[in-house]
Amino acid sequence: MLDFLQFRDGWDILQAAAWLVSLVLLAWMLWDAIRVSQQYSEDVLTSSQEGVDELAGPNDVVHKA
Amino acid sequence: MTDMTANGAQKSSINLAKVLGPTHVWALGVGIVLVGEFMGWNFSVEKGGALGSIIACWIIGLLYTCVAMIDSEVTSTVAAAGGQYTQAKHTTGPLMAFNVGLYLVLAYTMLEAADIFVFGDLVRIGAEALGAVEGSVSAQPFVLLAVSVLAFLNYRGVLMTLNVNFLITAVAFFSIIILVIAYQFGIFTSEPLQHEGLGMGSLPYGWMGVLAALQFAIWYYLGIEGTCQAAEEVRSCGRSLPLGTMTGMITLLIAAALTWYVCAGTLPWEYLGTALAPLYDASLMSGSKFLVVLLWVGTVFSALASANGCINDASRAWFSMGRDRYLPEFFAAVHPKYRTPYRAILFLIPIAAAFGFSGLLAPTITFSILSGLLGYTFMPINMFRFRSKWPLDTIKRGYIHPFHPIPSIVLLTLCAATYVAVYLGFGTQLLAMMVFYAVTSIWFVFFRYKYVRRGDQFTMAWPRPKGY
Repeated sequence: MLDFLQFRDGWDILQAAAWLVSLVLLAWMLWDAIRVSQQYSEDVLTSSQEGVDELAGPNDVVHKA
Repeated sequence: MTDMTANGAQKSSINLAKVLGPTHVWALGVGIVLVGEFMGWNFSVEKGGALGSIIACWIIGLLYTCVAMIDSEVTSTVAAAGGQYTQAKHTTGPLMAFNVGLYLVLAYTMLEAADIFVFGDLVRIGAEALGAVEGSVSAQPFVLLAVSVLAFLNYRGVLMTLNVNFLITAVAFFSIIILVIAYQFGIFTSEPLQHEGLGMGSLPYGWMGVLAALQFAIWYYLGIEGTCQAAEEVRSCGRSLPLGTMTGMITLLIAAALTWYVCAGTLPWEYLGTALAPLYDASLMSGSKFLVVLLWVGTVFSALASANGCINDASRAWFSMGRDRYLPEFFAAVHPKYRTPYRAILFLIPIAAAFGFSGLLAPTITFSILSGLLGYTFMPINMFRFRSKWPLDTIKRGYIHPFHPIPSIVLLTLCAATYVAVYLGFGTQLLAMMVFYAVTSIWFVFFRYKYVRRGDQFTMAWPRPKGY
């Protein structure tokens, strides 16, 4: 049942380590994303606005359609 | 994270972090592209011979110089993520913006898939070269490792992501320079460069071969337009973005010429046109272990830098489309701590990994190239509309590209020529892709456009367009 744990050589260990590290990182990102979504409201998380460069002077006006 | 609204009330908001400078823009643009110097461009040699390949390299170099100039001007005023999608949204309209956004996401995600596939395969080849039994090492765990580590970097912050990209891109770039110097001055190797002897001086298939070579010469530069995706995260968009993009383009022109020079001088053109990793093969011809290891590292780093930049760019485009509700607003979330579009990054991981696992390198790359080409075709139209709606004296630009409208006309003409070349090699895929984008456009018009915030999406501090 646990045949996959019987490593033939160092390359087998390296491949298993690659699977393991990948799954840990993906699981952490997923966990963090869920945690953040629970802690903050959708309004706050999606509140970003397109940037305005400092080249746009104070007299430049935003015209909404 | 607090902004003032029009009536003076405070509103809490989370925006992408403005932490990048011109070097990061350079790292993003060159990082995505440089893998094309290590593999892919050489298929142009099969089509047009070595001489035809360098002619195609210059012609497509002109195409991308026009792309870089137009991008630099428009994006120096549009300090927003999304790049060409945001440009199209402001200058033309929602349907074109949706299509351009989709081209961007697919071009970068497919390129990312190809990059991580190449990385996994290089590790497998390296393992077998170091003594592993043939067939005992699988590329798949390393494909997943690459995408998860790079996605993790992107998730945790853009500054570290592009600092890493700067380092590994610089190493990859200098590996090309060192290889050229080694051959040119006989350091580490006594093998001479022999362009004449290897069939450099002729066009085996004439000018038709040069035309056919155009589709693969795109590999030399594909992705430099991705610098625009950093617009919302650079400290001074109007200055940093044109500087990073134009220096990136100059770097690529140098890298492309040097790559061709060293490969065409060491490998017969008949072999070069079919090689998987021509720069690595050129290092093998030197007989120097140092150069072989250096070019293997350069190839691996270039693939990782490209995948890293692609995750960054695809997620910004997806995020921007979500923010304007061209896609579900769910994807417009910014991480409150890391200030990255974390949901867009996460969402695209399984798509890239699935294509990376599939091993379908040629169709994946073709999808990426064709999506990029479709995007370039819309850029001259956007540029004409941008200059006519907002003439030079109406809004401040960080960069004004010279000789307008010549670059736009040249770009449109060269795109048309490249379509002919693509049709010669990948006619069915080209038509299939156009059908795909036509179907998604119909979906957008009938099922998605009703959710778009038509007025709210125009947030630039610009005056009303001329004639409105």
